[in-house]
Amino acid sequence: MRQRNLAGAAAVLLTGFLAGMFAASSRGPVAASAQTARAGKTAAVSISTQEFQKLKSDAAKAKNAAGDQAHAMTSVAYHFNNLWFAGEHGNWPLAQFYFGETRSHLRWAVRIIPVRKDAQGREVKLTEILKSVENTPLKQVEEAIKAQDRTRFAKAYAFTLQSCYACHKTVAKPYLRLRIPTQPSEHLIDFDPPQEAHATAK
Amino acid sequence: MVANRFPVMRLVRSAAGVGLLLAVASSGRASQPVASAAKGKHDAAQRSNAWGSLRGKIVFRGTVPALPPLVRKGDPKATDAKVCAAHDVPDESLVVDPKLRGVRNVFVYLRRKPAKMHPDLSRPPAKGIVFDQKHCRFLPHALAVRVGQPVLLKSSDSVLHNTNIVGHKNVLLAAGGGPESFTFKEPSLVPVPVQCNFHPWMKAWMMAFDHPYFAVTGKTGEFRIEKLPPGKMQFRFWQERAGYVNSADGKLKKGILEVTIQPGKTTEVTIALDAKSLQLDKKAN
Repeated sequence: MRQRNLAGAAAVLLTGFLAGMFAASSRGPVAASAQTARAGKTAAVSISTQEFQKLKSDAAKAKNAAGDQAHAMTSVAYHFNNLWFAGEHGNWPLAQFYFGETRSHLRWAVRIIPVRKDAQGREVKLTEILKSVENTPLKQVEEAIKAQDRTRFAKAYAFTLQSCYACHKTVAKPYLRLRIPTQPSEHLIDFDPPQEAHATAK
Repeated sequence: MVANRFPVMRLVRSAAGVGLLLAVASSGRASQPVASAAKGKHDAAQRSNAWGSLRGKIVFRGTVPALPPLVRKGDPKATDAKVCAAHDVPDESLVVDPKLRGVRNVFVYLRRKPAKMHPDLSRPPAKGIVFDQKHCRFLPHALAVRVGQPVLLKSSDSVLHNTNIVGHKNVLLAAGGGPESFTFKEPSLVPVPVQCNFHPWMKAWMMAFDHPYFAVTGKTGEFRIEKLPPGKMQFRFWQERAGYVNSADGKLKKGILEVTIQPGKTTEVTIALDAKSLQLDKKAN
């Protein structure tokens, strides 16, 4: 009985010791920073100001390097234009490539400015507009590419252009009217399908 | 003995026996439909007597605020003005009948799925409900459906819209597009906002239920919920400006009304709302 009491007391002591050690270790940095703040308030502020200035400058550099929404939309236009010619030529792997680039650049553009305003000052959620475009006309474009169906591709492409223009109108840029392109943006790329594919198709 | 001696008599007797049997059988068959029809009527009567109804009206007390239209007719700044500003687009966050003072578009529903549901209502209707976009407005503005019941999304406008049932479906509809079928997979906790992001003033509400006991108040502010199981139950009232409504007459607290449904009877309620209960001093949701 006495032995059992001693063992219990030892267990309680050990638990208490461990709990104390844990509390001291977790409180350590907080206590240290509180001490620093008490001891040299001015020094702490000057360091943080320097850090803040550096962060501010880094952020400005990053912002400049990232480009603005117009930049991203120019890339969208470039890839979406080429997509038309890839599809028209029946070069489906190339069409799939330009489709992917168009979609990722659209997402990038919307990440840069997710909310714009309409002509009456109401908020326009570009992220939601893009979701609806991805769920409907862009999905139809991708399905047409997978099915290698030029008729469906042309229809879905035209529907996507309509939805892009609808978005331009919503954000008070109705002058950005769109049409089926007549020239590809890229002159280096051969839009014809590879010869083997030609042979197989024939 | 007699039969053995007179075979003709035996024949006559057995023929009579067969005839009697046939007569009994046929008479039984003839009376069966009559009996079952009567039983069916009796069951139906029993069924209708075993269930109750809730009928009510939501009225507005005080001066009805005049909400300016979201888009004014002829406003050249409106997106797709030719279509969207062809008429005034009213602010439907509060619609009050000018004569009867009934409040439209209030969701009224049994708070929890009951243990017992009327057999006629056990399954969601297979017929779809049309949810349209016309003159750059959603029609209807407030829609209550069963889980699994098709909602047919369409656009009667000559401009492009999206139907964004927030968190559920976001689809783009070309001019005159649809119908695109959509069904809720699970019940909603509160009404779900529906938006067209191309025309940011366009807003509506949808709510899905795993039971048939719900309604949306009509033009006169009236609603009716039928074939309810009898007993004490809690109904909830939700209006888009206030959320769960605290009524002006103190009957609703956090949108809850406790009602005892009696078998074969219709319980009637009238709820009064005012500017305070609808939080009209605050901006619409």
